[in-house]
Order: sequence, then C-alpha cells, then structure tokens
Amino acid sequence: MKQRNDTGGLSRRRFLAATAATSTALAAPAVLGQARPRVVVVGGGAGGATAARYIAKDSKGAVDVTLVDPSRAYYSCFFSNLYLGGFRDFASIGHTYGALAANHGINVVHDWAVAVDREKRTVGLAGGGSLGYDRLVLSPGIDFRPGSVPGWDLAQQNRMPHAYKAGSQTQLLKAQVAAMRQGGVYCMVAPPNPFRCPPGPYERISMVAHALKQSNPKAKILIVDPKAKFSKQGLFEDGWQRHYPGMVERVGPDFGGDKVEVRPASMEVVVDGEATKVDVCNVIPAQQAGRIAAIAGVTDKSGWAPVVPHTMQSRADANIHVLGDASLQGDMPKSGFSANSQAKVCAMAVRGALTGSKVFPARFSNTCWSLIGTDDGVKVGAAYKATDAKIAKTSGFISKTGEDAELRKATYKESIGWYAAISADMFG
Amino acid sequence: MFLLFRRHEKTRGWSAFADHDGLKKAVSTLLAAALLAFLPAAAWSADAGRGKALYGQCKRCHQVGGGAKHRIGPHLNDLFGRAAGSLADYRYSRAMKGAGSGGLVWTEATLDAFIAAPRAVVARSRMSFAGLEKAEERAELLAWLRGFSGARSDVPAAEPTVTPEEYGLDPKLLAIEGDPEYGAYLAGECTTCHKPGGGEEGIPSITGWPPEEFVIALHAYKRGKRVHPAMQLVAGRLSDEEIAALAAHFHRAEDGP
Amino acid sequence: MATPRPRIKLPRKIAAGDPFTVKTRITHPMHTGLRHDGKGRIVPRRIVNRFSVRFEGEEAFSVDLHPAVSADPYFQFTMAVPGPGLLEFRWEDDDGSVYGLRRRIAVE
Repeated sequence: MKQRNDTGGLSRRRFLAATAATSTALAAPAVLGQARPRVVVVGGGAGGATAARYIAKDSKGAVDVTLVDPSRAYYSCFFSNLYLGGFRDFASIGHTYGALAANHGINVVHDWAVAVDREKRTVGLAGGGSLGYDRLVLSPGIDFRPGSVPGWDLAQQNRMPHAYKAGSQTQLLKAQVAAMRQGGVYCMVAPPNPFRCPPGPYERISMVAHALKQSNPKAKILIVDPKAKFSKQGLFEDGWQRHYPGMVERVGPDFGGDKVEVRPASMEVVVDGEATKVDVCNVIPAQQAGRIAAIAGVTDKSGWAPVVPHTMQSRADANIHVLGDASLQGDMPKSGFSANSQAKVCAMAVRGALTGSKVFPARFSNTCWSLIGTDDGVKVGAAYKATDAKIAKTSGFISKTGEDAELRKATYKESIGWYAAISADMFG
Repeated sequence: MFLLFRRHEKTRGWSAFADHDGLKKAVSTLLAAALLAFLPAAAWSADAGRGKALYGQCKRCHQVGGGAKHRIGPHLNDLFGRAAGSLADYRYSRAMKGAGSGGLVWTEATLDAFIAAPRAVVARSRMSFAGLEKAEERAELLAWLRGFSGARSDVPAAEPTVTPEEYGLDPKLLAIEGDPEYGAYLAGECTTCHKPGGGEEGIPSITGWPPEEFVIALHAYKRGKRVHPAMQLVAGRLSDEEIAALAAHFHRAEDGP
Repeated sequence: MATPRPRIKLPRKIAAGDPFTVKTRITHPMHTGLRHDGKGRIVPRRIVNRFSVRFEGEEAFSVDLHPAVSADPYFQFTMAVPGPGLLEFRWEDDDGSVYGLRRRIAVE
C-alpha cells in the first residue's frame, strides 16, 4: 500500500478550519459523488463507540456512520476488577449498542473486520460483505504479543486466564479465585510496558486480595513483574499493607520477575529458573494494537499505530484515524478515559473534514480511578495537549498516601459517577 | 389538622383524576396557606438558628425568600403543597417532572423522605446531595423552610447562592459572551465524568446551570479557591472565553439519555 | 501472618576474585513493638534481628537489625569469592525461627 504524506491530513484540517466561517454544519459534503459521506468505525469500545456517537450526534445525520464490532454486548474492562472484588455484578459492566442505533441512526454491524483496502477505501467483513468509507476509524483495542510469556499462548487461556479483555475471561478468573484451595497461591504474571490500563493489574491484585481475605484468608498472592516500577505504586503498596498485610508479594526484575515462564499443565510458574506451584495463574501477556490495525498497515515495528496528535489520523494514511489503546500517540496512558477523550477530538476532525463544520484545537485529558479496598479509592489524572511530535502531558495530579477515609470514600464514589457518565457518553 | 390532611389526600386523588395542573396547583397553594394559618406563630421565625444553619447545605443551589430566583436548583418559596417538578420556568430533570406527573407532591412527609435520601425518592434527579441522615435535623430544616410557603409579609429577602466577590473574582468575567458551539466541543471533556441529566451522587450534574454559577465555580477552581485536583486541572487550562463558552453550552444543554 | 519468604538474586556468571552483587529480600512485617492494632492493643515486637551470609562456613557478611527497619527488609552488597563453594543465607526471627537459603557457586 502507498504511504501518504504525513502532513496531508493536517493541511486539510487547517484549510477546512479556515473555510469554516463561510460554511454551515450541513454544507455540501466535501466528498463528491454520493449523498452522504461515510464513516466506518471498527471497534465498539471506549474509543469506537464514543467516536461513532459523537460523529453521528453532532453531524445531525449529515454523516453516515457504521460501527463494526463482533460482540452484541460490550463488557468494559474498566470496573471489571470491581466485579472480581465483589463490588459490582457482571450485568452492571455490560452494555449494548441499541441506543446508538435508535438515538443517533448509527448502523451497527456485528461482524469481524478482517481486511482494509486503503486504495478502494473499503473494509472487508468476515461474513463476506464489504463497507466503503470516506474516513475509517480504527479502535480495536489490544491483542497479545505471541511468545511474550514462554509456555503461554491463547490455547492456554482457560487454564491460565488473562482476563484482560473483559467478558467470559473475567468470569472465569473470578470462578477460579472462588474455587481456590484454602491457603493456595494466586499468581499474576504482570505485563511489560506499554499495556492497557497501567494501574489495572494492581487494582486487580487489590480486588482479588479483598475477595480472598473474606473467603480464603490464608491464601497468598504472588506478582511476577518484569517492570521495576508501576503506576500508583506507593498508593497500592501502602494499601496492601493496610488491608491485606502479609498477603501480597511482588517479585520485580530485581529478583527475576523479568525472567518468567509458565507451565500450564502442572500449574507451575518458573521465576529465574526456580519453579513454584500455584493454584490460580493470571497471565497478562505483553500487548500490541488489535489485529486490524496491522492488517490495515498502520502499525509500526513497535506493534502500535502512530497517529497525528491534532486529529488522531494515522501517520501512514490520512483517511484512517486510530484511537485508544491501539494508537501510538505519546504520553497518554492506554485507558478507556483516554480513548473516550481521543474519540471526541477525532470526531470533531472527521466532521470538519467531511461536512466543513468548525474545527477547534485538540485537547485531551485522563483520570484513572482505582479501588484498593472497601471505600478506599485513589486516582491519578493529567491534562494533555497536541504537539506535532506527540500528545504531550501538561500537568497532572495523584492521590497521596495518608489521605483520610472520607476523602478516599469520596474518590471511590466519584469513580462510580464517572462510570455512569462515560457509559452514557459511549452508548447513550 | 386531621381534617386538612384528609381533604388534602382527597384533593390529590381528585386532581390527579381530572389531570388539571393549574387547578391542582391553585388548590395546593390554598391548602398550604390554610396549613400555615393553623400553625402557632412561634413555630417559625426567619432567623431560627438550627434550620437556617442546616439550610447552608442547600444555599449553593437554591434560593428562598423575597425575590428568590431559580439558580442551579429551583427556588424554594411555596414549596409545601407544590407538585414535584411543576414550576413552569425551571428546567427540571425528566425524572423530577415524571415524579410530579406521577403524583408526587411536596409535603412534610415526602420532603422528609427526599432530603433523607434524594435518589431513593427520585432515582435520577439532578440534585447532587447525599442526604441528611438525622431525622431531627431534617425536621428542623423543614420547619424553617415551611416558613417560606404561604402568604406572609415578613419573609427576609433571598440570599444569593454565590457571588464573584466570595472568590475575589472580577465581576466582569460574568459579562463575557460565550460561543456555545465551541462550548459544545469543549463539553466533551466534561461529559466523560459529569453525566447529563441525573448523575450518580459521586459527581454532580452540571446540566442547566445558570451561567453565573458555572463561571464562578470554574474560575474558583482555576484559581485554586475551590479544591478538587481533577477540577483544578481541567479549569486550570481553560481561558476566560472557554469558561464562558462552556457556561453558555451547559445552560442550554439537555438531559442526556 | 503469612510465613516469611526469602529470595536472593546472584549474577548468572561469577569469576573467581571479581566482585559481584548479591540482592536479598525476605517478606516480613517487621513489627516494631510500638504500634497499636485496630483495638488499641500493642502489636508485639517481631522483627528479623540478624541477617548473615557464609561462604564455605565462613561469615562473609552480617548485619544486626533493630526496630524501625521497614517491612520486607532488602539488602544488596558486593562480595568476591576465591573459587567455587557454598553460599548460605540466614535470617533470624525474634520468634526463634530461622529462614535459610543456599546457593552453590560455580566460578568461571
């Protein structure tokens, strides 16, 4: 496939911004020869659902939006740890696409996108059909990097679940934790950077510890971690000491956490040559952009898809935007909040390009809440701006150790409010 | 009293059947006035300490007293006997309007339940208040509020919910004309957490706020005079014009899904 | 309390006479004896009070620990060995328990 000029999208954006004053939102579509410009969005998570919704909603029907996702029900990764901890039921993290179709006229197609023809601008579906687009938005999330944890592959996911794409895997992990023998060992093989939801594995440890403290208080938790440091480390370690003393041990690269192998048949974890028998093994492998991004040819050798920060356009193809976890954008963590934030910038840029609506400067933000124990919530957040090179962090904040219980409870309640809001922002 | 309550119950049944809002309101107001007439004079005074002090938790959003206006929440004059969500010139949440047309009328009993746990009574109300736990505090607050229902000549003038001076802000900030289209784009950053329409109690609704309240709140965060790390971060990078644009947007914004 | 779990980390290759880095850590609460529990009772002192390393039976490194050393004590030090031999690590607990690990060192 032909590489397009990196700056093509940018100059077009600026041109449209300059002409916006003389055009209206429903001006003649920039793409000639058809009734309405077409946008295809692949992936119905925090990035894709938000982008589809905002493009359809704000263009008031001037853009034809099709959302492609194989699942009829979406289970959010965010808050799936709270389900593991017993703070949410499974149904409460499930969402459907009905309102996107009913309220905003989005065509929702339940199928796998398996091919992208960038010359003809079509997306091929596993079911055989093909969808034409003027702009393609890829928000496919993550896939696992084969071979990153020796001994583990997807065929082992029922014995050693990853539970890092929410759904039946999350239910399986919860069932395994509940069925663990008294005094057994729960092991997590944590992923190397960069990966989806930086505090996610450690919130999961907190939630599993919370569940075990009630059902299996002598159980132990072992984290085998290739990283020297992790997100909110001080807050998590302080919380583990307070809520679950003596339960959690983390083996970092200092003690061989970066040299791990698993043996699913015998339920063994081998750390730096030393085998340990465990009862539950949660393997979270190294990650890369969801497969369709590589199929479309927009990923680089890092496995992620580089984007132009101002518009979230792929650096390889100005007709394709990549959002969320799959994108290589700079400083933003891979989170649902980030994807939702990027989707709104993308939606504005897409509408601007296709309908001539006003284009405003990109701005991004992110906050990640984590629950450590009952009513003990913490958060980390930052604001970002688009530079030509990357999405760059401008300022941030993080919870502190030693905060009083009221503040931690308020932080937890905030996270519940956020979950309700972002769900409505994606699917409402 | 017994007679009054019986008549009240009867009236509600009848007016609901007739589905005639104006008449219902008129009757309710009359009843509230009649109720007050039965109260001993000592039962209420405008500066009765506890009730007024407890109202401090409400006054950021609600005005009450002479000349009270709708702010973030509706004014609370003549609240007793009023059907929920029934003032024509205030934009209620769908949930509150629905509760009113479903027959919810504000009485001692219904207000007591609502103030104790607002979302237990109107699940998706936009009112962001966790609830007043203690029954005697609710009684004191309601006793004081009741003084503003019915025809009286001695009610004090309503106090403002918030003023720019409280935070040392230049009142000129309130005069900036915001661009609602820009506001609509910027609002995307807000709606990730602030659910349009009734939110969860952890994060308040900002839909339909009067622009003055909105502008003052964001400038107070921007200058670190209201404390919340995420809000200070967001407000900190908004220009005066951007704050005005957001205020213009949210003033007109609709309840979401 | 969970049983303390010691860990050590040695380089893969060790040459006779060349200094190498040893890292050790044991999971241990290191109760100072000054802290109160949730019910206001003193949590009795319980710490690892001595950590020592022997090479071929001869003490190569040792340290006495006192209250106020934080939980999960971690030590990193350098040493050199003249040739192959047995390296023994020993953590002594206030409650009388002794936790040990051994590594046979092959030199190049």
